Amino acid sequence: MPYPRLLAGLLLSGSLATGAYAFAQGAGTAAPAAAPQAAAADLLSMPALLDRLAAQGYRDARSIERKSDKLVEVKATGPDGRRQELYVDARSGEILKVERD
Amino acid sequence: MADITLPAEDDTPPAPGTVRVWDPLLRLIHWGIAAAFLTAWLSAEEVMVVHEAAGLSIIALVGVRALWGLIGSTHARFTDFVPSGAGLMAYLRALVHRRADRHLGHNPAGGAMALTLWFCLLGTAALGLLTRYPISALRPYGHWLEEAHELLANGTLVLVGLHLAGVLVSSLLHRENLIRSMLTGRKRAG
Ligand code: HEM
Repeated sequence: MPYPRLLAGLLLSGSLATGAYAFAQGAGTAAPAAAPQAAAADLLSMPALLDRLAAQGYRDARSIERKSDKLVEVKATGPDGRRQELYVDARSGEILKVERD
Repeated sequence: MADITLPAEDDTPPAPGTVRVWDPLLRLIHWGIAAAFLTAWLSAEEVMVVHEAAGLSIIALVGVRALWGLIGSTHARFTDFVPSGAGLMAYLRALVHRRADRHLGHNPAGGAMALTLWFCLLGTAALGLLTRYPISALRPYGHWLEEAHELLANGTLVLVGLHLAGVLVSSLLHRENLIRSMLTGRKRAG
């Protein structure tokens, strides 16, 4: 019956594929090289981030500060003309929270 | 990783009336997987470097075991123990009536359990890897990958519990110490 061999082959190819992926990603090395770089490449540049905010009516940014690799804090004037403090997703540019400045 | 010392079988004469069932590589892989699984479990969300190393070990060990399942010794081969559905059901029915046959290699339930464990272990490790090193297309689902990784890890732990229960039941039923067999590689003949 061929199916025990099929199962062994499936398990073996799964292991090889996963192992190859782990190797390509530099998994298990003391300094996981690939992952943080890939993450950094995803971060929006500051101008791109301001562009997205401008598209939503925020202008005159007075300060912009990268809080972490996930979060950027921006002080700008809102669509209603009031000064606001925004918490923005560093990757997507999505506005997570708005506070009065 | 815990170091695994196998009995030096070349020095000790085999107990009379026993036969070699589990070859040394199979035993090394078994205890290696057991140690790696335990390590991965204990280091989860604590020591991620260790956790990741344990996961990678599991991937490699399962891979070598699968290869050994194609080219290894008699009872290591998948053709020796992967049961048919009907064979498994018949064995389980006999087991309930305490009439299950003794097998030198894996019995049908043990074979099915070994197979399930390997797939679950590999799946858990793969999901963990994808959580940690996401493929960009999967990045929006990172949270779900992590949940799936944890779910499968918990499921595998349950299976390990059943595995140990199975080893115990089978040992009692046939009045033999299967745990010792997994250490020495030998079982009572016939
Ligand atoms: C102290 C804990 C453990 C003991 C005493 C133990 C004992 C055993 C025994 C006696 C067998 C042979 C069953 C038979 O005679 O058919 C076996 C097989 C097996 N066990 Fe365990 N086990 C332990 C932990 C684990 C863990 C943690 C895993 C997986 C995470 C595992 C996975 C397996 C697999 C996959 C097989 C099949 C081995 C092969 O064909 O290569 N075991 N175990």
